[in-house]
Parts: sequence; structure tokens; C-alpha cells
Amino acid sequence: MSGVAPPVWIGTVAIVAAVLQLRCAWGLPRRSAMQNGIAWALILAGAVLALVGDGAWGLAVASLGGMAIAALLIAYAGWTSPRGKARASDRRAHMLSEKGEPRHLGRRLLTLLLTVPLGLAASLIAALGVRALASMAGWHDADGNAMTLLLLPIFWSVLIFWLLMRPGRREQFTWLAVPAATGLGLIWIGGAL
Amino acid sequence: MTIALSKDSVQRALSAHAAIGLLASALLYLICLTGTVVVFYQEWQRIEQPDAPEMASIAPDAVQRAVGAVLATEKGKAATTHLYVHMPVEGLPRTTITTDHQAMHVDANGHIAGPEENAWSEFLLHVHYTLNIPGLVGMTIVGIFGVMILALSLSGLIAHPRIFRDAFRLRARDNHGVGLADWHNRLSVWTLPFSLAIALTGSMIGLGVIGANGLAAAFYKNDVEAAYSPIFGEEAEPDARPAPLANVAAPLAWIAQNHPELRPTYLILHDPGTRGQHVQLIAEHPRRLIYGETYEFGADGRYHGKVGLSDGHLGQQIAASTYKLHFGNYGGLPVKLAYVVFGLALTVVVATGTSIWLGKRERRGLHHPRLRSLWDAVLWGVPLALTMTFLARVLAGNTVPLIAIFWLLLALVVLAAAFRPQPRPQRLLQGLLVVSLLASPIAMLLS
Repeated sequence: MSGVAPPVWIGTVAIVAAVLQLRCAWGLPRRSAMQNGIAWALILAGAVLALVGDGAWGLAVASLGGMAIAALLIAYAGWTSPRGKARASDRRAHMLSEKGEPRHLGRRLLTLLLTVPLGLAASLIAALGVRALASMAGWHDADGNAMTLLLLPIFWSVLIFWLLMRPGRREQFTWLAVPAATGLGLIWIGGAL
Repeated sequence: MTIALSKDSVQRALSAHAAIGLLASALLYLICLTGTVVVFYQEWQRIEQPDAPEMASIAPDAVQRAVGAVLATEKGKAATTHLYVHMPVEGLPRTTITTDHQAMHVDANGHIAGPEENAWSEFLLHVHYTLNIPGLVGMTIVGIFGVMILALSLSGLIAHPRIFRDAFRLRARDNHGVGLADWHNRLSVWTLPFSLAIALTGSMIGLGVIGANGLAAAFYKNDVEAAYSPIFGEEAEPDARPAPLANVAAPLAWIAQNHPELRPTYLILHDPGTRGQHVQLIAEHPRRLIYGETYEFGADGRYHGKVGLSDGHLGQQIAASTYKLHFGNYGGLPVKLAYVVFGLALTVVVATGTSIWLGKRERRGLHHPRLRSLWDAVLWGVPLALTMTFLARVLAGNTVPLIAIFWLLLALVVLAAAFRPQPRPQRLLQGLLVVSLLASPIAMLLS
């Protein structure tokens, strides 16, 4: 950690101060846009300073500082919290059937098929489509290929979530088909097919 | 902050969160726990083999001698295609030469000191990286679990609209599920930047094969190497005709003279002893997330150029930054300690998720003693089996079958919990874990 640029230290201090400010702001009886704003502005300023100081490395180090102070605040909250009588949630997650309900195994398996293998395929095609678009825009292969590797898990995780949020099968198939068809179209326009 | 979402959206997000979490929880827990422990990969190697020679640096000529000496021991074997020299670095100040056949420590003078014995560290790394599944399948599966963490983070935020507002509230002492839920929600909020970074980099690494094959199929006529080469550089054409051993000292001397601020971490000699041989020197750049820059040299030691991971295309720099960001080896001990704390927090988040779900069902009168016991078996059986492999390594030596011990022991614990769910195995497994943890340092001292 020797030779760390001063903006990284200042950025880390700003992010730590931002977490402390959030602690104060979120502890207020009423929400204060100004108090919250100060905290988020400090986070932004700290991140920019860390980035300017030592690039992605600086940002990674500064964000660890913010998480560390938050961990300490949480540990303090846990240590000092009295034994409460609050009732725990029993919200249904609808993951397993309740007593007497059918298991819907076929339905569950189809959801798994849609979200995992088909979701992966659709995400990959969509990521490759963006790669084709980048290539048409004159991006170097290194940038386009790295972007594809980055986009694949992002697209897939968002697609899994989004498919599970859709109420009907038709909607789910539509949301699978849209990125896949768009990706295929872009790859075709880009001349790779 | 309260995010305004419809009740229906929140309920659907909760269902999605539970569905992904429950499907992935057991292996995700194993991956998170081993990932936390393997942060100290370098330190574990030093613990495993404390008497290996250590040095702050090694002279280029000594490296040349060592490479020659190691290759001389392989006469009569199939020719090594890649020879790696691990250079002494702060976390692991050892020089180790790895070929296709063996891994040997060398001393500061370039003399062979003995074989590398780090079976447990390697086992631990491979459980995390591949779940001990050979080939690229295991790595891809682990990558899929990285995607699951990303999807869980997203669904978790939507399923808990007050999650930021309550971010500093931890009712640690509340019973009946409140404390458990608070631990789960608080730790997940405050480790969110860490979790997203770990999951995204992990899934990029793990799913890299799928992405690269897709790129190859769409744009490179199924040539996977061609998809990687714009980022990491091209492999030179091999020429198997014999030639004198390449000059590996000159690249080290070159980097010391021209870039004294850089720290060589690996020297790679491709196809040693052939006309096609060439040298790559990977050097760490201070205060950068990239794992290093690759400097290329000919067999005569002449500098040919660099790949561009440090200052080339942004895509190259991003791709080269995934590894350090994932493993936490970019800021010495303070960053490693932070990664252990946050990694442990992520492990607790995964562990408490399934426990919360089971607790909710029990509060609604739906008891699942077998599921509860199975979850106990995973929660406590995984660290127990890991500790037992460490004990086996310490007591029985470097050749002990660690993969078999780990998976058989874990399978035994899980099967026992499935066939005999009552009484819950939690207490027994916790007790065994404490005993094995206490026994580990004692066994090390005695061995």
C-alpha cells in the first residue's frame, strides 16, 4: 500500500464520512433530502477522487474503507441492541407448496429450463449482438470481446430476475425471444452470419 | 430510502429471491466459504511447507541456472511445453519452477531445493474454482453461481423495499427469526459493492469459456484462441526442432534495468529447448488492479514488445483486472483481511437465507425436519470436512487424497442427516468442528 496517491486517502476519508452521514440521515425521524444528499454527494466525490488518484485500484481501496466503517457501525448496532419482542416475518415465498397444495413439479422444471439454459443462450446471443454492434461502430476486437465477457453474466442475471418476475409463460417466452432475436439480428447485420 | 414498488412486485421478487437462493444455496455456500479461506492462498502455502527456501529477490543468473537444472532432471520424459518460474513476491517470497511434470523450489543461488508440497492449498483453490470437477465444466458451473449471486442481489433489493432505510438497524438478540433476518439483510446491504464485484468478476472468469466459444462461433470461425488473442496476446508458432536453452536471465535483467518500479511475478518459457521457444515475463504494476503486463522476449533474451494489459485497449485492462479484484491480492494484508471479513459476511448471508426460509415455514406450521437437518449438514459439514482435509494433510503428508476425503466426508454427513434427521445434527457437527479447528494448530506443531 506504499506510494498511495493523496486523492485516494482523501477519497477514502470522504466515503467513510459519507457512511457516517448516512447513519445520521437514516436515523432521523423524518427523511431529509438534504442530509441524504450530503451523504451521496460525499460518496460520489470520494469515488471520483479515488479514481483520479489511482484509477480502478484507488476506487477499490476506497470502497473497502466505506464497507469497513459500515461493518463497524453494524457491529455496534448489534452489540447494543436490546432483546426485542418484534414478531418475525412469515411472508410466503411460494418456493414450496403448502399443506394440501399440488407440487407443480412440471411448472417448476419449465421455469428452471427457461431461466437457466434458455436464459443463458438468450443472454449470450444478446451479448454477441452488442459485440457485433460495437464492431460496426469501429471498436477494436479487444474492447468488443472483453465487453462480451462482461455483458454475458450481467445480461443473464438480469434476465433470470426479470423472467421470474413475469406472471405468465407467454410473457416469459417473449422476454427470452426479444434479446435473442435482437442479438441474432445484430450479428447478421454485422456480417458474422 | 424507501423504493416505491407495488405489493405484487415485492412478492414476486421475494419468490424469485427464494427460488434462486434455495436452488443455489448449498453449493453457493461452499463456494463462498472456500473463497473466503483461499484469500490467504499464499499464506497457506507457507504454512504447508514452512522449510522451503525464501528470498526477497533472486538474481537473473540464478534463475537461468535453476531452469537448466530443473529441465536436466526431465531427460527421457516428454518435452515440457510450458515452464513457469514463480518469482519471489511479498506474499510468497519463494522461487518455484513448474513444468508439465513437476514443481520444484529453488534457492537464491538457483540450486534445486526440493519439490513443492502445497497439496492442501491447491485442493482448496480448486474446490473454489472448479468444485474439483475436471476440465472446464467445473469452472463454468462456479461461474453460473456467480450469476446467481448477481440475480440474488437484484431480487433481494426489490423484495425488501426498506432494506436501505433499515441499513443500520441490527436486532442481533431477537429470537424467532428477527435477528436472523436482520443479519441477512444488513450484511447483504453493506457488502453489496463487494458481493457485486466478486460475483461479476467470478462469473466473468467462470463463464469465460462459454463467452469465448460464442465469440469464436460468431466472429472467428470457431477459433477460440483467436477470440482471446486480441485481449491476452497470441501464442507463437511452435517449432519442435532442438535448440540451446533460451536466455531467461536477460529478460529479468531487462525489466530490472528499464522498469525498476515493476515486480516480476512469473516468467514463462514456452517450448523450452526448441527453436520455437520464447519467453514471457509477467510483471506487476504497483497500485493497479491488472494482474500484470506481459512482456515478450525471444530465445536470445531480446525484448519484442508487450501485450498491452497495462496501457492497451480498455477491454484488455478490464479483462486483466478481474483476477486481482476477485481474489483480493491488490493491497497486501489490509485488503486481504478486508476480503476475509466481507467474504465471511457473504457466506453468512448465503447461510442465513435458507435458514430464514425454513424458519418462516415453521412459523406457519410447516415443519421439515429432514430439510432442516440437511441444511445443518451443509452449514457445519462443509467447514468440518475442510478442516479434516487440512488435518489429514498435516498428519499424513502431501500425497494424501484430499479430494476423496473432502467429498466422501461431506457425502457421509449429508446422507446421515437425510436418513436420521432427528435429533438435529447441528450441535454434534458444531462440536466436531470446534475440536478439529483446535486440533489443527496442535497437529501442525507436533508434525
